[in-house]
Amino acid sequence: MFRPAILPAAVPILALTIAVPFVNRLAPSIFGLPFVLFWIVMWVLLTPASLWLVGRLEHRW
Amino acid sequence: MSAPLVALGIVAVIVLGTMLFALASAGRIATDPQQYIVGGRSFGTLFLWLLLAGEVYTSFTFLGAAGWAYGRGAPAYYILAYGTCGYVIGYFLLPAIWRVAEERGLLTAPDFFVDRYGSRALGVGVALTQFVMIVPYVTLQLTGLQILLTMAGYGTFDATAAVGVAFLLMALFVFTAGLRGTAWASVVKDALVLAAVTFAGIAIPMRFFSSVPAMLEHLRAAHPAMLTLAPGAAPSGTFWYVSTVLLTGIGFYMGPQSFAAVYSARSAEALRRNAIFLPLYQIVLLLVFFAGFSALLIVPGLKGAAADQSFLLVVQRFYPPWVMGLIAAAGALAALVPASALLLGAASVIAKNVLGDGLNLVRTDRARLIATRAFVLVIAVLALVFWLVEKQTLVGLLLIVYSGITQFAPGVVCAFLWRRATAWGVGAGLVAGLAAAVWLSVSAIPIAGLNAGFVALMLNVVVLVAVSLATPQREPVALRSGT
Repeated sequence: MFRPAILPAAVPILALTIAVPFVNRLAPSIFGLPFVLFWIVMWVLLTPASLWLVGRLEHRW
Repeated sequence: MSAPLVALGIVAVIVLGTMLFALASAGRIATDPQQYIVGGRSFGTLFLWLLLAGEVYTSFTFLGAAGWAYGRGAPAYYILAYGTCGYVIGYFLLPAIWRVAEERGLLTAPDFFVDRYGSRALGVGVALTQFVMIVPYVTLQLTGLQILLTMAGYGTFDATAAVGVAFLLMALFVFTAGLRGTAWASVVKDALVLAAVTFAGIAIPMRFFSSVPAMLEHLRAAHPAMLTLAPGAAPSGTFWYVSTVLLTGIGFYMGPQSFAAVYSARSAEALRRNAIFLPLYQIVLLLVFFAGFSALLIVPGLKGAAADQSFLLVVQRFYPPWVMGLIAAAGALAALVPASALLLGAASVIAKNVLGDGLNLVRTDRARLIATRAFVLVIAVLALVFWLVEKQTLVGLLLIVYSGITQFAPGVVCAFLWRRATAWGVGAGLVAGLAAAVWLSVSAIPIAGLNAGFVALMLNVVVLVAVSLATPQREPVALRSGT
């Protein structure tokens, strides 16, 4: 299960966990969202891209 | 017609209509356990989506997440993050589990442990633990259902009896239709929930504040401290956030109902595709937060468990009864459909692993099917009684159950990554993790603000490794394709 190709998948997990204390701010607010909430939403939306990249790296498609 | 009659009438028609639609669509009544419990392993990408998303978006999503946004603010963000982490882990883990299940003909979650660690006793232990944890999870749905029906009745009647009737009807439904019925019911449920949440998260802020950003502007002015997490080890602070997202993300697919959904897939590829696209569905939760935030500004002052009513109270006060009815119907299905999957998961585990493998009472496929069906009803009644006696706020209970469910993860992951893990190690780790999770939750000892279940998970891993190294290795059954 451990292969270098899975590294892109680690990015959203890190961004949604240990990175959050460092972006735990109100400003700058984007689309009205507090920055920390915007950060989380952004990474939720980027997760499909990272998993797609894993698939590409493993030549599944 | 009076408002409660209109709203409750709509709920009744939609809930009954959904069950009838699902019964008709599921087609022939299943006559063997493979069909009944895991849908004959035939579900393609789209159908699987309904099942996977359908089990995740429960009445907790609907009420609890809005209640958290309303009552606590930023700690609610964890709900958006953990599911996403769960999908990333699932991208790798679910196809691997599916391959084992398909090749070895596994039927239940404990079967996985029995097969990989060569121990029926471990399977019995896993089955009993999962059963014990499913019951509070079901009662959680019943509490959600009660809130919804009480709101739809405009407080004019005691919803307890209605909850009981609706739930037993759902139990009879899954008794008849099995997993395929649950998946079909999810079609209606997901469509309604999506519509209800879009209404609550976008139409409500637009009506009262002209736009969503304007609503957030008001919120920032009124409650600035609520919108970011407390620092470090403070209660519900950043340490709590990180440990909770990790814990619940790892535990995301560890319930018996999730294993049933995984086993039902036609191919590993269908699971992988779902894992890629399911995170987008998480945006539903952002809309639920918007609904909760709007409610905080429009109807402030709800305390404790009452916060779970948040946006429903706005709908009840400011919108016509038919809107209330549609929203409550969506919520009722969000409680009942996942509850049906939970009942089926728990029942199959007891019938197959405890009565069958453990006590050797249920041997044939026919007996297994009958036992599973019987236990669907038995567990439903048990859950109903438990619920009548013991009620708690929605998410408090969920966190205790999640701390418990996640304790299965080390055994599942080690089955693929660490050949040296033994049945004794997995069993001992599970016992240590569960004991620690319960003890830390009950005694409420502060552990640097970390989630109690997360600390328990660490202990689980340490015990698993230590005991595995101290016990003789048993060569697990290898797969044709390898893992």
